[in-house]
Amino acid sequence: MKFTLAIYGAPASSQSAYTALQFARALVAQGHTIYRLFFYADGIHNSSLLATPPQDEINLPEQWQQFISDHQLDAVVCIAAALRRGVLDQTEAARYDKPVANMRDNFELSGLGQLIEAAVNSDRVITFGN
Amino acid sequence: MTDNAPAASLLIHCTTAPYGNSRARDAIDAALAGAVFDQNIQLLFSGDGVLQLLNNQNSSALAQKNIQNLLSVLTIYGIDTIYTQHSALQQRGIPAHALTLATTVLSDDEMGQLLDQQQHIFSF
Repeated sequence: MKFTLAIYGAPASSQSAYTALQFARALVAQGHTIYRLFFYADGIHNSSLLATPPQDEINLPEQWQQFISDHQLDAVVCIAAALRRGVLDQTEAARYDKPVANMRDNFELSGLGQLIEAAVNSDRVITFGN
Repeated sequence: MTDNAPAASLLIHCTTAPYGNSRARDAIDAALAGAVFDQNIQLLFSGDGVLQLLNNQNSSALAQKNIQNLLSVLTIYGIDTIYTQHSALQQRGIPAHALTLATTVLSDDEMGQLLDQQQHIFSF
């Protein structure tokens, strides 16, 4: 089946982000297709380049990036939610005259329309909330 | 899915009170995005979500936009299928006529049936 995962929880603040990654891994292992990963609200922090957890804790943004890259997945970060919360790619950092960009590669900023489009084209949409 | 269903049936399920976190706004933004993309969007307000629909909100002291302004835009985008949970209204002492939008009030059983009918549900 084709799945879209909508992730609203941030790493460190919420368990839902890790649950989403584990679920995504299980989907792939079971032969399902992940149509899109959509990071919304606090979930945008899963794309952070600068998040630096302690050595004995997992680095979720890094693990997401690896997973997305390994499986060539479409990982979209809601641009409005990301800008508000301070995660910007090179383009947005330049646009808003910020000294640094802090979004990881393999994630792409886009609008909520991508979440809707994903729902229309997926068999299942699973939300990973608070 | 039937061949004569042109648009996906998407339900936005709002369960959170406004202003304490971004969830209420996030939900309405998603609903509007759905409408822009010509989808069949329905809204359900249950539990604390019904508090989003209270009339005469004033959020200026919170340095936040008043969610009523966003809700008033829903009909302009063609979203007029809005449901509320009767037990949630009752538990909070809110009469249906005190809401800022006209809604269809559902019993818990009817709410279950509504959820069952949806192709996809976005919960906030």
